[in-house]
Amino acid sequence: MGFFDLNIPYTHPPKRTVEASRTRIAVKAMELGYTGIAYNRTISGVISDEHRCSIKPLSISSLLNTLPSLSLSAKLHRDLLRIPLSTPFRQYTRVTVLIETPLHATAVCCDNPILKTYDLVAIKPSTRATFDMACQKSEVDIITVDFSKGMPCRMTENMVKVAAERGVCFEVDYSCLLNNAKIRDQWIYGAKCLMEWTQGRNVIFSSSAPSVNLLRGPWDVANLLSILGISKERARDAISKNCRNLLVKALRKKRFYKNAIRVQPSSSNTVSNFEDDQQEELLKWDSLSSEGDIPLNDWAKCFLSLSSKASEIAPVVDSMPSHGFQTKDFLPSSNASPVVPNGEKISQSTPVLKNSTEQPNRQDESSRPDAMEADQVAMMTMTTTPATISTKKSCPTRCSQLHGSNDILLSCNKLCEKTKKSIPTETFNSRKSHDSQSNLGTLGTELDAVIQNENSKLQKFLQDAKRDDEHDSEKIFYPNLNAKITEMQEAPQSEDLEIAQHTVSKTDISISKNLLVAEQSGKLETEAVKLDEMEIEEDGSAVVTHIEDQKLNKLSTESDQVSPVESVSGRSRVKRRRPPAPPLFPFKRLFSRMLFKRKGRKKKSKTKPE
Amino acid sequence: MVGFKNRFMVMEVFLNPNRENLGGTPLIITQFNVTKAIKDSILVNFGVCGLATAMASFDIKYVNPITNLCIIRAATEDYEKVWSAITMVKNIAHVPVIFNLLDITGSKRSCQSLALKCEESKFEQYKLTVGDQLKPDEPKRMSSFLDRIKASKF
Repeated sequence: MGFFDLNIPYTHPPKRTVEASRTRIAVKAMELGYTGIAYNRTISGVISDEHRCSIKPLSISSLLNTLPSLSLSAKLHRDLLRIPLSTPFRQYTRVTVLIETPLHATAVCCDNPILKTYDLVAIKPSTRATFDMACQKSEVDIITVDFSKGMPCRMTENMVKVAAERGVCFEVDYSCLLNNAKIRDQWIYGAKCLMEWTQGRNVIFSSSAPSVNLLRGPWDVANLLSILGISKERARDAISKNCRNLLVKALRKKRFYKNAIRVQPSSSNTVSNFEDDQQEELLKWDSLSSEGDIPLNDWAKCFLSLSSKASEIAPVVDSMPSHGFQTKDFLPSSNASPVVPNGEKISQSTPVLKNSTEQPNRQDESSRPDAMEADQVAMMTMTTTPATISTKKSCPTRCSQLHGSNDILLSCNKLCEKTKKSIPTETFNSRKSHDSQSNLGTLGTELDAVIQNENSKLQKFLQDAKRDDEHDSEKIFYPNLNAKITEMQEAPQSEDLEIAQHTVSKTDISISKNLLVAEQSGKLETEAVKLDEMEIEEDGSAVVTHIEDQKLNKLSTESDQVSPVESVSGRSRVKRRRPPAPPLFPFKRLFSRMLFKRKGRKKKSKTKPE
Repeated sequence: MVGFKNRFMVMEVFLNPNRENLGGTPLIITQFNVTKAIKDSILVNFGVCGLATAMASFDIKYVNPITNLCIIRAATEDYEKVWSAITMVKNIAHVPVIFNLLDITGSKRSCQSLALKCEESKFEQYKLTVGDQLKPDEPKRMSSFLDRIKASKF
């Protein structure tokens, strides 16, 4: 855990002497083993354009000029502080706004574009009213407490607790403890009160040292704080962990916008090592990176990186495609240029934003092939099979166990050879090579065209598959169901089948839509409810028979997905069953419909080993 | 068992870190002026009682004027007070100084190994800073200081 000093004074028109002093402080901080410092600019009055951030981070050459033995010294101190040498020395920018009236406080908010140019935003209230306002409403990172002007009267425990709940950090400067003997008593008293009220949780300590003489090492500072009454761990946290958390939050607010994603071209060009490179990129991502990062273990890299950092950001933005990113850009099988989403996120224009918000859903879906998803996909493709199969040739062969969507597609293809309908097989075959998720989007639209074809072919298919009822739920298709063809061709049944087909296909579309948009886990029930409502709306003229209802209700596999079908077809009935388990093959219920007489056989056949 | 438990603090002193123009001879830290500066700081910050309780075990054991390293012993009960008083020392004989704690140990033996490691590193840094102006007798003096540490004569 690195140590940070987040208040090193910076005066705006940088005079040479003051800059020299700043350089010396930075060198000393680096030597003493601090991991990061923030240059603080104080502004008062109205925030205008001239208050934009113009703080330049110090380059390593200027630091080395001041102290040639800097690297050795820094190495020794880091060893003793047990901080790895690989952690770079970071330089951040910070602004402190002096607030005198409550009106002024309202002007300071995180949306102010000028304040956004700084990494950290702090306010320094001077009166009680402004302090209350700052604690309750201001959207800043830090509230700086000034102990020199009768501070203890200004702070109240309630306000401090309100601010702590909101996540605002309080900052205390230890330089006045060392510097000014007169206000030392007030400082100790005020700091002690603050520590008691916050219990050291949302407090950070910094130096605000006007010169190097008032800078102290990390452990010395932690020890100074422990005499104020907080434990050693909390004291150490006040200069390390609390600072780090604050920086991470503040940098996230500054660089990213809500949940937007920034897509950035990855460094590697080969598509074959797609996953490994992606993991490496994610591991390398640094949440605390600043513009002035100085790596301590590789000086040569530092000289190069500082110069190129500014130029890196601009080309990324320029190279963003205007039409946004397509799914094909992310898929490894596509021949498109390897535009890979990085771990970093920033906001972009709204059309890109819309695309990008969809992409993570698709990406997440494609990257999480769990059993649930596979089952759903299986279900999806199963529901599409009647429609698609009616257009394809049907397969005379029997298909055994189902393993993933590809198998379903293969089996469907085989079955389709039975029905000799002329529709191009290009779309169907091409699906196999793509990611299953990308299929779902296209399937929905294609189904509409397919559904409108004749039903005789469908009936044949259903006859063939009807044998499936007795067997294991994973086995799908059985040939030679001539014995059942006559039954299936009964008028009411065929009508029911058509209705069922329509409803199932419609559920399929709605399922596909819902799956694309909503999260997959824990939403099956809600989807079922939605589907239910949609079904009732869409299906206008359902012819229902008692027999069919009973058959549907008596089916072994039960699901939420199929319950809308059930409920629609049983619409004349008051009752609605909501079976608990999700189905693997919704169609199976239709196939395995039996007349009353065959109920006994059903049971017998279940015991048969297959 | 051991009656008096102590803490050994290995500290480095940065003299005139702001490179101010002080005139006169440069300060050489000795056991005497460091002890005086720290005692004054304890008196100002912790009062007479604080000073009296700290004096029981407080001692400057070793000072190296070349590398500006010192080893300070304090009792276990009071070492935090003494340490914070040392941190608040602003100057020694009108020369601004910064005391920085390198490490803290509970026994002489661990203090020895730590001090040796720090001394070697600090001497390398000193040689880099001084460059050509290294006096010929300084390496000898340095080795004599290291021998003192190894012989645990502190």
